[in-house]
Amino acid sequence: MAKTILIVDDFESSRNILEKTLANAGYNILKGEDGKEALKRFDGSAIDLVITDLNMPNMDGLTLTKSIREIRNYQYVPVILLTTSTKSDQQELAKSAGVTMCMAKPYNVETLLMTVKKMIR
Amino acid sequence: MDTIHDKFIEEAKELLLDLEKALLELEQTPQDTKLIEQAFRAMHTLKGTSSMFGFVKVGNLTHDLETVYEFIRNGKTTFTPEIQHVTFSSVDLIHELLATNDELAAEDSPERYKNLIEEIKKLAGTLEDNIPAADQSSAVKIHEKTAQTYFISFRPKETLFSRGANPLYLIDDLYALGKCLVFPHFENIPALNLLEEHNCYLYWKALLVTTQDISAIKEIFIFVEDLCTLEVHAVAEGDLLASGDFTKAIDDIFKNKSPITLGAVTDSIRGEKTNAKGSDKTKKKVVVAKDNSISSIRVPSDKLDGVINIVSELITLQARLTLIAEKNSDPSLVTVTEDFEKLLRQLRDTSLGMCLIPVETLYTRFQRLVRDLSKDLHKDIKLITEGGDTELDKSIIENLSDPILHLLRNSIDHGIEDTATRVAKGKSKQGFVRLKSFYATGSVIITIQDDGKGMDSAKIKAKAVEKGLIQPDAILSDKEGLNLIFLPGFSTAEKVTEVSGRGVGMDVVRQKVEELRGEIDIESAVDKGTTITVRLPLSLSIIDGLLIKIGDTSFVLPLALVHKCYEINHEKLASAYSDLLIIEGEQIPYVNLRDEFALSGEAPAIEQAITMEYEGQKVAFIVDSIVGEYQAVLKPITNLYKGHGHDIVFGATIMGDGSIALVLDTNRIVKQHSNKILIKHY
Amino acid sequence: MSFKVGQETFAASVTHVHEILELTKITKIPHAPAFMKGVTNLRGTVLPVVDTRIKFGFPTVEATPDTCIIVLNITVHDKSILVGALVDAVIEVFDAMADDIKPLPSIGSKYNTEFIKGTIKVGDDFILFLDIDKVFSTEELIQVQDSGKD
Repeated sequence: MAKTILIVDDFESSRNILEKTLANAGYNILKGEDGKEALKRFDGSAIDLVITDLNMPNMDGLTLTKSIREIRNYQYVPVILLTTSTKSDQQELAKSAGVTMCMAKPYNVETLLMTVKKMIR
Repeated sequence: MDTIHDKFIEEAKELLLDLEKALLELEQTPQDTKLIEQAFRAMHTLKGTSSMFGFVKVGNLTHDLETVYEFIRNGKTTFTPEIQHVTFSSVDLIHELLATNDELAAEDSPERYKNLIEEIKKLAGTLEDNIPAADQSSAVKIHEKTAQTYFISFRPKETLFSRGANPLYLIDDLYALGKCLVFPHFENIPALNLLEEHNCYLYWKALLVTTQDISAIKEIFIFVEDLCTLEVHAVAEGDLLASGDFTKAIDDIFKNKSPITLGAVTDSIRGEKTNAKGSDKTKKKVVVAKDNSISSIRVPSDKLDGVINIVSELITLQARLTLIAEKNSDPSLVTVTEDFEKLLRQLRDTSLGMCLIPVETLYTRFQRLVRDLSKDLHKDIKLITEGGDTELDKSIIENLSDPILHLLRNSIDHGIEDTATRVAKGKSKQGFVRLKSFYATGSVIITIQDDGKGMDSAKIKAKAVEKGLIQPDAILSDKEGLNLIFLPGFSTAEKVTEVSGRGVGMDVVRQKVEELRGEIDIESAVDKGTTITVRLPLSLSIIDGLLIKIGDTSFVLPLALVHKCYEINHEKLASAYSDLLIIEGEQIPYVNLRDEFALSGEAPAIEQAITMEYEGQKVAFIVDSIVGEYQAVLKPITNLYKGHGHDIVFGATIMGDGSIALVLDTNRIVKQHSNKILIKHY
Repeated sequence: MSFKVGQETFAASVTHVHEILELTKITKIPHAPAFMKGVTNLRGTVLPVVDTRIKFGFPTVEATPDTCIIVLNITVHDKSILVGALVDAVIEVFDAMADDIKPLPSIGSKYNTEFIKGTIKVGDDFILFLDIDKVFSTEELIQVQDSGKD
C-alpha cells in the first residue's frame, strides 16, 4: 500500500516541487499551507511522514512538530524539518521540539528520496 | 512542469513585492522587527526554492543576503542605508533574472551581478560554515575494501520514540550494509504495571560484516545519535561470521543471557557498561499558536472567472424564469421566482466582490517608482497615497497599472519643478504627488494630483496648432485646451527625457482607460499643479440597470446614475424652444433618445423623462416607456469596426425572451450630444 | 459553400462557416454604419450581423423565406471572432480542390481583386471565391465592381 507523506510549506512552489518529486516516487501526498492547516490532516487518516518548512506564518514548523507529538495515534510520526539554517543551535531547537531530522534547503533530490525511504517502510 | 515553473515565478514576484514594501517602510522605521522579519522571510523562501527551479543566480544572490538579514534579526547589525541599497539592487536584478530564465541578458547585467555578490559577501562577513545535515547522509561510497567485521551496540534512550524514530528501521539498515547478526535485548522491559508505553526499553547488539567503512554504519544512526548510546568497533578483518565456531560462540553467550559485549566478542571478558538510563524526558510543552491574521484562501483567477460566468448565465436564466412566472400567474411560482431573484442578486454581489482587489497593490509599486525617479532627477518629491483599501475588479487593476504609472511619471518628470525653481516660486522645497482612490455613485475615481508647474492651456493650444492638430482660429475653452494633450501625436516636453520619453502616450493612456469603459479628465492651473481624474466602472460584467423601451427596441440605462423618472407630454417636447426641460423648478437639459438614435416610429403621447447623473449635473433622457429594474449581464459586442456608435454602448444584454437590449453609456451619449450642439452653434 | 447576394452568387470556404441561422430578430445599433445590420442573440452570445448586400454595394431587397444569416468565423488582428452575414440564400455546399480555384484574369476584370481569391467552376458557371477574412474585417464597402469602370 502506498505510503502517505504530508507536506507543509507556505510557499506554493515549494509544495509543488516536493509533491512532484515524491509523487513520482510513488507516495501519496497530502498538503498543508501552514501548520494550522496541516494539523487538520491528523484526523484519523494515515500519515507516514511529515515534511515541513520551518518558517511559516500562523504556526512554524517547530510548533507544528510539538503539536503533532501531542496527538494520539500520531505521536511517533517521523518529521523532517526543512530549513536553510543548519547551525547547531537550530538543530538543538529542532530536536527538542521532536523533529526526527533536519534537512537543508535547497535540498538534493536524491538525498531527499533516500532519507524519505529510510523513514518510511 | 511548465505550470509549476510559472507558478514559482508568480510567487517569487509576490515575494519581491512584499520585500520591496518592507524595505520602503524600513527606511522610515529601521528598527521595526516585524518588517525585518518580513524581509527575512521573503529572502529565506527565495533562497530555499529558487535554485530548485533552475534560478541558480537568484539563489546565489539571496543566499548571503539572507544571512545579512539574519544578522539584523539577531541584533548583530542594523538596517543601514547601504543594506537597503544593496537589497533594492538585488531585487531589481532578481526581477530581471526571473524574466530571462536566470540569464544575465542585459549588457551590464553580468557586471552588476558580480558586484552585487561581492558587496553582499562583504556585508555578510565570513562565508557561512554551512555543512547541511543532508550532506552527511549523501550516497554511501563504496570502497574497494575488503570486508570487515564490526561490533555494534545500539542502546536507545527511553525517549527514542519521542522523535518519531523507529529503531527497527535502523536495524534493517544494518542488514542492508552486509551480513548481519543482531541480538535484541529485552531485559530492560519492566513489569507490566510499570510499563510506560511511550518508552523504548529494547536495545540491540549486532555483528556486521561489510565492505563499507565505519562512517557508513554510524550514518545509519545519525539522526538518533543523541537519543541513544552507540558503539561501533571494528573487531576483525574479513568475515568473522563466516566462521561457524565464532557464530556458535556468540550464540551461546546470547542463549546464556550473558551480555554480548565487545570484550566477549574478542574473547576477553569485559564488564558490561551499565548504561545510565537517561531519563531526561523532554518535556513537551504545548504551545498554542495565536492566530492573528485574517484567514484567506488562494484561488486561481480562472476559477473565479468560471464562477462569474456561471453566475452571469444564472442571471440570464432567471430573467427567463421571471417571464414565465409572470405569464403563468401561479402565485407560488411568482413568490419563488422573486425569492430566487433576491438570492441571485446576493450571489452576484458576493462573487463579484471576490474578484475585487484593493488598489493598495498598485500603490507599493508606485512608491518605489517615485522614490527612484525623484532621486534620479534630483527632485524632492513625496508620494502621498489615500484610499488604498478601495477595491477594484482585478482585471481593471491589472490594466490600470501602466497608464497610472505613466501619469505619475509625467507628474514627476514634467510637472514638479526642481527644488531651486520651486523655492524661487515661493513653493515648498518638497513637491508632492497625491494618488487617491475613492467610490462615487457606481464608479471608482482615481485622482493623480501634483503641485507642480501645471499646464498652460494657451501654450497647449499653440502647440496643437503648430502640429496641425487643430485650426488656428478654433475657439476652445480652457478645459478643452487641456484635453488636447490626449490627441495622438501631441507632446509638450521641450526635451526628450530618458524618464518619460517625449511625454508621448497620453493618447494611449486615454485609450487604455476607455477600453476599461472609464473616463479620464484633466484640470490644471499654472504654477499651482495638475489633477488628473480617472473614473472607472466597478465591474466589467454585471450592472444594475433600468430597462426602457423606445418603439419595440429595449435599452438598459445604468441604474446607479438614475435619479428620477417623470412623465412628460410629447406635445410639450415637440414645441419646446430650447433643449431644456423644467422639472421640479429646475432647468434640465435633455436628450431625446429616439431622435438621437434615429429610430423609426412615432413617439407615444406620454413619454418618460429619466433624469440621470452626468458629471455632477442632471441630464434627462426621453424614452417611450420604462419597463423596470433589470440585472444586466454584460455581453461584449465584438468591436469589429472602430468608432461608429460602439462607444456609446457598454455592451448588450440578453433578455428573458432571448432578445437583445443594448446597455447605454449615458455619459458618452451626453458628451456626443453636447458636441453636436456645440457644432450646431458654430 | 455557395450563396446568393442580390443577383450574384459567391463562394466561400466551408472552414469559415460556423453555422447557418434562420433570419432572427436583429437589434439595431445606433450610429452604426449602414452595412451593420445590428446584433442578434446566438445562444447567449451577442453576434454582430452584417448586411452583405449593402456591403457589396447592391440595392437592398425585402427579406424572403430564403434569407438567412451565415455565421462566419473570421480572423481579425490575429483574433478569431464570429460575424453573421445576412445573405439572400444559401445554395449548396460542394467539394472542390484547391487548384479548382483559378486566379482572376487581371485585365478586363469587373471585380476588385483584393477580396477575391479566384473563381471556381460550379456546373457551367464561374463563381467568385471570396477571401472571407478580408471581406468582413474591413470597414469599407466592398466594391464588387471595379470603381474605375464606366
